Amino acid sequence: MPVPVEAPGVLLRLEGVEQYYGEKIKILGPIDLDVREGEFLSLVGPSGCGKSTLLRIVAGVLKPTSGTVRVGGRALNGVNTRAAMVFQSFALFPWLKVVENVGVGLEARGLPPRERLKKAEKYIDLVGLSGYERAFPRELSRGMKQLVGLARALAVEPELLCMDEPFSALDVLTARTIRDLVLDLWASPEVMTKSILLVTHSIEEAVAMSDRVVVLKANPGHIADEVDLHGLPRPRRPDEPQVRETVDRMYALLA
Amino acid sequence: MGGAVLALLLPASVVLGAFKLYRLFVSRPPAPELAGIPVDLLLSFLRVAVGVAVSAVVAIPLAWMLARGPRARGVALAVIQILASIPATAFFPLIVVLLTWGMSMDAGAVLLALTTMFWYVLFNVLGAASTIPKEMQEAARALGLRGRRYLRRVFVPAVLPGLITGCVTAWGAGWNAMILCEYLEAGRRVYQVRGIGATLDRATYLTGDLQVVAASLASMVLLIILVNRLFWDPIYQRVAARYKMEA
Repeated sequence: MPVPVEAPGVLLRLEGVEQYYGEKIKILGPIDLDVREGEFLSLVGPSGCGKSTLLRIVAGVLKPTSGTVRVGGRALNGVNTRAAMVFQSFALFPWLKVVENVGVGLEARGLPPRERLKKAEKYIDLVGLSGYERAFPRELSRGMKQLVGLARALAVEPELLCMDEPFSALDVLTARTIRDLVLDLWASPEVMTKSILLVTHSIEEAVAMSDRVVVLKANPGHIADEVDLHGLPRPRRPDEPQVRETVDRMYALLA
Repeated sequence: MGGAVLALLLPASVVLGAFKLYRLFVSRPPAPELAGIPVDLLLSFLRVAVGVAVSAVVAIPLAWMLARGPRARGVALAVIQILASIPATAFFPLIVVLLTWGMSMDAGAVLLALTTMFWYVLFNVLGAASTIPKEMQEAARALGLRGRRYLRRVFVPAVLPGLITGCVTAWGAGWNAMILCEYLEAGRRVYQVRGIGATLDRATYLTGDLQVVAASLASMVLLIILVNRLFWDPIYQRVAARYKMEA
């Protein structure tokens, strides 16, 4: 079933992606899904539905058992260099200073030290951590650590930002602040990122942030539904009737 | 109850021991070997230091290879565990063969010591490597950190606390090994090399001079404690503060 590649406005396409655990147990798929240019796409679903696995396949850190990931029309083989990842556990390198953590992806891309530093400082500034360049991760609060994780991902200037439960380890207020920051940065001309793929178990979070929500269900992980939220005006406050109604509708979908 | 007995026995034995030692050293003129103890210590120190350095230099790439190739790891670990469980004395014949082929006894002593020292370093480094969280490995991969850059930026820093712990343990084991390695009897031949272990062995098995035994033991223990306190402890503190994984 070859699909005509490079449909306009498609950043990344999953074709028949399946993931097995061992030889026999299928945990995911087959999944067909497009990530479109300029959209904020969320994957929601209960634990075990394979949403984090799917995100890792998109980022190219996990090779699917079968199926293809197409980026810019080409089949992905290895790490998706047009994507970057933000993790629930932040996954910072404790022995590197903030500026080194943010610059380490640029180093891997062969940027000379001076440009690396300049770019790292730019993104540290964008997430509001100026002054903390020389700090070590252990000296920072959880929220600040995730800001470093965000800056580190943005610094490699990815077209696609992949976020795996990025706000789940944060307190409610910090999570809200960083959520707003992500949306602001995404809209900002300073940031190159075109699309964002968010994995979350929080329907409220998905509704507050996304243009489109894909609902996954388990055994094996498959796409159960898709909700278009382009029509829902931003910014979306949780107490607005339209937002609440959408959240309720999505809970019904997941039930 | 047991504590009270211990609290009495311990100081009593210390006092008694000190008195006996005192008698041992004033009752007669010092043995001629005592003057050589500083040089003995220095030579043994160098051997143990070389053993620790060699262990560290070999353990890191080996652990790196084991951590990278999940398929080879099972077999390799089994082999390593078997090798590690063989006592140093079982390597005697091998070392003796190498010696008769012309290897220097200095190298022989270090090599034999390595058969006990190396495993402490390797297993501690392997243990530390297994503490690298999955998400951190994924982050490194997503950022494009591969090969030598991953080694330098992630693997080596992550195993550094384990490496130091392993080196401290190997350092202690190395001194223990010196007593075994600097003075070998195989067949009717004696292979020996100058060092505190050889001096201690000769005093124990040949001359039976308790003065030399006490002096070489005491000086060795003192040196070990000093190096632990002044060298290893500060290094470990600094490494742990910066390189330990966060909880």
